[in-house]
Amino acid sequence: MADIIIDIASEFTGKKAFKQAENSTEALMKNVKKLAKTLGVAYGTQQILAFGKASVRAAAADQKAQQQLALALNNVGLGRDAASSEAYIQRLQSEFGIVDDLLRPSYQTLAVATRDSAEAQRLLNLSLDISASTGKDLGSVTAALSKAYLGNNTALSKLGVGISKADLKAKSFEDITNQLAVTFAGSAAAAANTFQGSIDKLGVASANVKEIIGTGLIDALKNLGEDTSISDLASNMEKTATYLADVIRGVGVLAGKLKDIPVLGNLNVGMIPIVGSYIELLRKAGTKTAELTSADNAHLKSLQNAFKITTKTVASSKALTKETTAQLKAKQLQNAIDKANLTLNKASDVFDMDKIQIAAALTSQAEQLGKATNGAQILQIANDTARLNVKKSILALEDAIASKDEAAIVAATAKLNEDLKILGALTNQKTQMVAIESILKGLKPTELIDQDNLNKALASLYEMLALLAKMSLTKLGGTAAPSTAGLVPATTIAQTNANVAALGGVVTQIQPNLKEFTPDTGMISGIGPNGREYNYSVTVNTGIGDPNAIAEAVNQVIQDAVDRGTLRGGAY
Amino acid sequence: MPASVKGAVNLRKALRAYTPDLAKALPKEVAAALKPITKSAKGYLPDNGSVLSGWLARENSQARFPSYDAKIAKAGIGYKTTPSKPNRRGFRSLARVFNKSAAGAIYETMGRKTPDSRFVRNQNSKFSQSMKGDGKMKGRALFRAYEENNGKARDAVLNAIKAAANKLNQRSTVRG
Repeated sequence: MADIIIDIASEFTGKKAFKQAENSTEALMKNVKKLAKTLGVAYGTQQILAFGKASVRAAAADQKAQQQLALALNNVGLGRDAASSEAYIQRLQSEFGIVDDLLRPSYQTLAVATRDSAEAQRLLNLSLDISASTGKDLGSVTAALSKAYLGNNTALSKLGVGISKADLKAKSFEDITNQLAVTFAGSAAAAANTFQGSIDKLGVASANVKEIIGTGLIDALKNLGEDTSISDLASNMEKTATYLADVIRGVGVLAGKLKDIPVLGNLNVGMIPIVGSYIELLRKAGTKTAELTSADNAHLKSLQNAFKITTKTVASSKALTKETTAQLKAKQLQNAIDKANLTLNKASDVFDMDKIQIAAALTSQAEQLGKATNGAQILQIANDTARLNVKKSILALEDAIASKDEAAIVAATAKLNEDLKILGALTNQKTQMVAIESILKGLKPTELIDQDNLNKALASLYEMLALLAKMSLTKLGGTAAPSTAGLVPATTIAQTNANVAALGGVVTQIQPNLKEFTPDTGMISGIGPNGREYNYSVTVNTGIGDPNAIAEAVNQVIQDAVDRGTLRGGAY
Repeated sequence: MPASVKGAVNLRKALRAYTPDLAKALPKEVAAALKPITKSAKGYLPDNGSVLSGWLARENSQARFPSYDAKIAKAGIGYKTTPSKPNRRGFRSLARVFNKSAAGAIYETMGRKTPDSRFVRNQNSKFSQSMKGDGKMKGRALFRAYEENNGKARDAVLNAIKAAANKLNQRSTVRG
């Protein structure tokens, strides 16, 4: 029974039948291919594919060899000759029928040895002649010549080119090669003009065709790089190869037919009606693509070079900035040192090491100052002292220079300059008393305690105390201030109390237990173990002036405390 | 004909993966659009008293022809908002209403091919005027309700899918 369903919205996602059909088609194609292989139907296609593979391989190898040669030339400083060298190699291979795969390594060997393009080409021409004449391979001949150019003639003698050992030793490389050029002149050209040479030329042309087609295939593969379907790509390549094979066969047939027509000369495919126009269009498109690819590569290379140059420039400018900063710093330090050296030189002009010995002189100068009896002696002392100061400053400056402390160097230099000015003034006999006095003051010993001053200060203090005492007595009762003249420095508590009483200031008395008692107010004070003073006040609430009542009241209070048990001392 | 939508299945997957709230909201919106159809369709099914007594279930009956039970028939009408498996032509249904009970389907479609059969004639005496739609989309309950809905449900479903896709795109757009 069919369900009653209404689809409101649906999506086509493909179905199993389609997948099955696809798989079946693929299987069928595989079987057809196998069958075609078996029957030889696909033989031409296979050949074309093999040729295509070989072409791609040859083109890649050729490209690699070109790059290696260009790199080698660039490394030996012949980078500018890379293009002309490549053209020279192409000319040689078409002229002598030698493939560029052999020519490039030989040329590279010679160019590296000679580091001169003209010399390398001359030697390669000679090598070709020698190789053609002797039958030695080109690589061996060029290797021998390059070694001989560098001074090793052993390999050249082994070549058997008719040069004696004596000649090899006696003659220069230039003479030897000139001799060889005469001996083997025209051998390569003659060999190229033989039948074998013609065959070789055809071989070279065939190899070039392979490389050119391979380059085209590589470009085509690059253009198809965005195609994600490999199976489509392979299929298209096979179809194209088959098509090309047919076209080539057709061209062969056509060329044969055209050859029979006497009025037609060289075959120009582009001249074939309709088909020719299509092929010509294809050729033009291919040529344009090759040019574009080449232009793109060149542009990319130039951009890469520009980027490399920019990166290098930035790095070098950074390094330069760093170096400049370091140089500036070193220059500043050097300036300070130079300035100091200049001052030192000035100082050494006026300083006499033999006359002044710093350590002894400073003390002796002080002694002599006391014994000086006239101005000339004082002047001499001042002069010597100034020299000592200069010496001290020089030592300080030398220390500063050794420590490379710029601030210390500057300060020491300034101090030395100042000392030198003073010394200069003394040396010129322009006596300046102030300067002399300042120098000599430095020689006077400064005592830590001056007994006279201390006595004077104590006397002033006594006077001040006496004055203060007088002032306070005047305020209290207007009587004369008690004199301290008769007082004895107290060593006991009794003496202290006696002194205080003598001064009229008795308010409290200190008991032997260090407690202070004030008889008038009943206050007790003392000094606690922690050094603080403490006081107690006892107030008796009873009749005023009746000692018996006061005693009874005190007695009652104590009795109550005893009864309560709060009196720690127990019963009295 | 159902409206064909491209990428709706993947949209649901994307919603589930990146915007779960939208993934939950979309079926609700679709259901809200489909509910009026099913509600109307259930209403168009006759109750047990309205059908001929011979079609109703009888005790100890060994009849193989599906008997009518209004409760079962109404329960067989419903909707689904989850994508179905692909059918033979490769289409997956995204939202659908159905009438899956046997008796309900008979009531829905009886008389399309054999309008002169006895059973149909007997039933037509009561329900002939209630069939609506064209061709295979002609019926008495679900198809009638769909026909009377005038495509509102379809538009609502498509709008809901479109709105969900737009919201997903908005949220996945990187703002500078």
